[in-house]
Amino acid sequence: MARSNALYIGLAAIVVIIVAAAALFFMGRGSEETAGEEEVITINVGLLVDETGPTSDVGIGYARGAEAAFKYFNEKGIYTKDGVRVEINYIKRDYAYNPTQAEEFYREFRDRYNVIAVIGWGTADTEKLSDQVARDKIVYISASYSAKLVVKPYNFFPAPDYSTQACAGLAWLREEYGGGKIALAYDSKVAYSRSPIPAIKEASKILGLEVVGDFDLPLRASEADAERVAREIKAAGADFVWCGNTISSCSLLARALAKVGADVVMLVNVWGFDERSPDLVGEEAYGMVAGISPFIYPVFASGIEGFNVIYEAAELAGIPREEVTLRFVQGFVNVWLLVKAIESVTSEDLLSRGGEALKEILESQTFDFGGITAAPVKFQPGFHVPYKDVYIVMLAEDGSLVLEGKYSAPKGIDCARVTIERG
Amino acid sequence: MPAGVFKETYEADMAFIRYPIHKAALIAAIIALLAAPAVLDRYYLSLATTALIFWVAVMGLNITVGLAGQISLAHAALMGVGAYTVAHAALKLGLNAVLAVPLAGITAMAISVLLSLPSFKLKEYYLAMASLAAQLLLEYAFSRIDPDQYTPVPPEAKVLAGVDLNNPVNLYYFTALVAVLMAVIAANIARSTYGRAMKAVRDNDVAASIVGVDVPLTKALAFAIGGFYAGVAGGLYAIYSVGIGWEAFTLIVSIELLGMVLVGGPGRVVWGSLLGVLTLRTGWTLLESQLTPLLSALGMTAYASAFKYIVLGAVITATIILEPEGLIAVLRRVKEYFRLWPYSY
Amino acid sequence: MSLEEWSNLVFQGILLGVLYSLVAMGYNIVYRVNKSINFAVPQVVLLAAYVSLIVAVAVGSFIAAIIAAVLVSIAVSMALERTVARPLLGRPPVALIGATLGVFYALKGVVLIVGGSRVATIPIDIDYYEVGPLDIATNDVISLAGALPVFASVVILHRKTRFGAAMRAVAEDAEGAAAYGLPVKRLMLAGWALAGLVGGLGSILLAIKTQVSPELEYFAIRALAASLIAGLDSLGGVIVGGIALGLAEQIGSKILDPYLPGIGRDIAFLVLLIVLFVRPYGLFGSERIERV
Repeated sequence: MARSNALYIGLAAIVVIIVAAAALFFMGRGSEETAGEEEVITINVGLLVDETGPTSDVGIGYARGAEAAFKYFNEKGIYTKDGVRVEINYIKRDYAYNPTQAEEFYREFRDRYNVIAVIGWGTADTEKLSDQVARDKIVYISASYSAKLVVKPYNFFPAPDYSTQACAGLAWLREEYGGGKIALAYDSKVAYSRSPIPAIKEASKILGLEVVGDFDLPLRASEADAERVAREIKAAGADFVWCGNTISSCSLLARALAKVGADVVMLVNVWGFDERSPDLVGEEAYGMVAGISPFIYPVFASGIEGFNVIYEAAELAGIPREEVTLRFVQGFVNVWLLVKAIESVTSEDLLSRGGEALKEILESQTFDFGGITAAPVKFQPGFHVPYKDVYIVMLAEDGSLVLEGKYSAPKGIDCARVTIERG
Repeated sequence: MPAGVFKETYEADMAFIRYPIHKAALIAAIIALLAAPAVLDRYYLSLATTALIFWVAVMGLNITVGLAGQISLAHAALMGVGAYTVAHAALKLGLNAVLAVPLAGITAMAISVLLSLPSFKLKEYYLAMASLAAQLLLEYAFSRIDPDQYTPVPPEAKVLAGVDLNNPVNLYYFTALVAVLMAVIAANIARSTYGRAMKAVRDNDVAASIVGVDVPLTKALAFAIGGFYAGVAGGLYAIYSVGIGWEAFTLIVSIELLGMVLVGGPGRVVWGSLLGVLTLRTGWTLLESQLTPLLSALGMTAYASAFKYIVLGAVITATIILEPEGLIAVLRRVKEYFRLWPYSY
Repeated sequence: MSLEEWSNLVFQGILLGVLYSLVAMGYNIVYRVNKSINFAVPQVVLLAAYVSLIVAVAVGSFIAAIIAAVLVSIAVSMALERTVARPLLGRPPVALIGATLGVFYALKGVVLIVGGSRVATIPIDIDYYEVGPLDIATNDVISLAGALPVFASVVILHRKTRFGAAMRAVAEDAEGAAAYGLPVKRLMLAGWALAGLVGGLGSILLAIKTQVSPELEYFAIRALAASLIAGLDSLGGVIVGGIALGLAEQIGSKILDPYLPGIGRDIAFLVLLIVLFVRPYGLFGSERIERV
């Protein structure tokens, strides 16, 4: 009995020591900051990522990109319009793709750190918090490009919404292969996967594509799941497949489609296809998969000046050039957008009105990322679709990635509006 | 038992306030509960509010597991039933969220009674597995009714009779009121005929049936009460949240809730449950908020979420092995040690 | 639906069922010697799979990956017996359920550090063959060819050897076995080690058949359902239970998917609840008679 008492008292002592050490550590760090000569404004920004949950296959790269960007811009110096230096203190939390956990962390960001902006991640959590961030006047830049967010006053992302992107992809399919039957494979219980589906169904009618059905492919599909779905798609006689999940399940589906011998072209949403796809889908599926992206892939970076900044940042963070992937770029550009907004406000505005001032700047200016985005970023107040172009990247027969070019959503249909109204 | 205090009747022995220390502790607890919003800032107040909500849920599970000995791994799903009841009643029927809370309790209770049916035939591992199956099936059902992964709880539904529960202080007092009410009820259940019948079933159900305890009824009652508490807690959680999502009510949360019961003190419905929540949920959140910045300074952010699992899992396992009666027994021994100090014999 | 589609569905169902049985056997062996369920198995399976992936990538040897997976699984399993199961001997079942769930929870963190919840395939060359109406891949063949000898050897070990007889004696009546001079504690440890061995092999074969991903955790939980459907104390029943579950899952999700998308992974639990209502101790389990 005495032994176990001693054990608990010991455990409690360890906890107290850890907390005390942490407190001392931060007091020490705080005094360092005030030692600088220059006047520095420190602002807090939340960084909400998924490094351990179902979307961590793409979330880890995104988090690395965002962190590298924060470090790089802090190091290089961020100056407001009137020349006052701003130091961004970012608070990173891993919410494992659980919207409830995201809300808990959002409370911590808001109430404990008084953040003026959040760099966020998934569709469900961003949509859920969108009304709350408007009430709290906190700018929320997300990795989710859901159409439902474009009408929310404080939500931004430097890319077209999923629906507009998907429509542009369909336009490419139509132009390249003509009409045909398209099967939609996505996880019917995940907000991100469901997001562009109403727009795809509507746009297919205009483009002369026939939707043969919805096929449920779990975000964490097993090979057996993928094979079953592939057989059903083959039996439905589809010519094209839309895959709306992240990279793991979309690669499995491509692999399974090749295994069952389906003769299809698979078009994949932005989070489902990147530089790893050639390895993940396997040789058998070469020449039948294409991905959509609002940003140009780093493999096609030569001659694009925006990448000089990203490579410089990667070097500073000690990340080799080949690890600068599309996901890294996506995280980086989101932070970059925030930094550009901060650089356009006055220090007085930033201190007194915070998120509100940033929102006004984001809605009034054009932001150029040196050719990384498919077009310059310009938000309309009340309708935050910054541009309507995407790149299509095809996985060629020899396993290399080929840039098919820039495509735009078809005229005569506003895909974002369709999703907002029907979703 | 402190010297100089003698009980002459059974009533006195079973009373809530038996010793002077109980009176002192109760007064201190009430003052702390009432004064919290004045002392704590908004972030810590929200931690206190969630602690109270989970206290209600864990009290329910403690009745099912601790008092009646019926293992349930579906408690988080039952919370989910309550939360979705409130969210959908507010969203679809336009019902006031506060008025929907009792409805949430009753819905969860009904489903919990359904889940108690296997307990008439099954025991131990089979029962644990049946409740685990129910948990996963309910998770599937949630994901079907909530395909966008969240259901918003409209802020205008959180205003009742001029009291706006969107205000964190009002919400805190409302939650505290409900939690204390539920705690008083729980304490009385533990002392009632039914509570003692549950203990008899827990200790030996065959023997209990021989002395005339209606075993199936007692088991069903234990599940029903547990389910009601879970439903109310889920309803409160929905009022607390901007929106609810089924990922808040998964198997891993059920394991956490069971851990809170076993770590706090199984069978010690009120205080054991509170201790479990304060250790595994609130305590950890406080520690984590210190630990995470430290880890990111060391470049180990990726490990922050892993540490939660490792530390809490180890605490759960170690407590069960070393201290069958939970941390509340340790607390009592520590108290006795200091009360008798320096003559600890 | 065509014959080709049906036959492939049945083939995949049987294949997955065999793997279910293999993992379920791990639960079964522990239950027999200890009268307890090791709820930590899903995370042990996941841990072994990630370790084998890391070794396979680092060393480039497939054999090394198998050995690593098996060693990790055996080591964790034996450590659990010594530190968790043995101190809890004689305590009510809720203690062991809670304690192994605590281990489940803690190992989840370890898996996050080791594997980081990534999704990957074990690097082996996969070719596709057409055998009649069946599409068969190399990994299908490996997992089937790997699982059958393991079954056979466990059953032989159990039925034909002195060690097996001693284990059965412990399972029947631990105190009685001790009275006959059997080293009960060592036999219990051996039982857990054997369960770890089977679980480790199951884990690597699963990783080859599907992929290394956190989904394997749910696969192992479904294997526990298979083990209960069969009856916790029936070794032969586990094989039937596993295959029945694999088939139910494939055929059930094919039929139900249009109405209930994604029900596939939860069919196991539906089947389990039905079986437990009809036959509380599983299809092949023996009913216990309780005394006061």
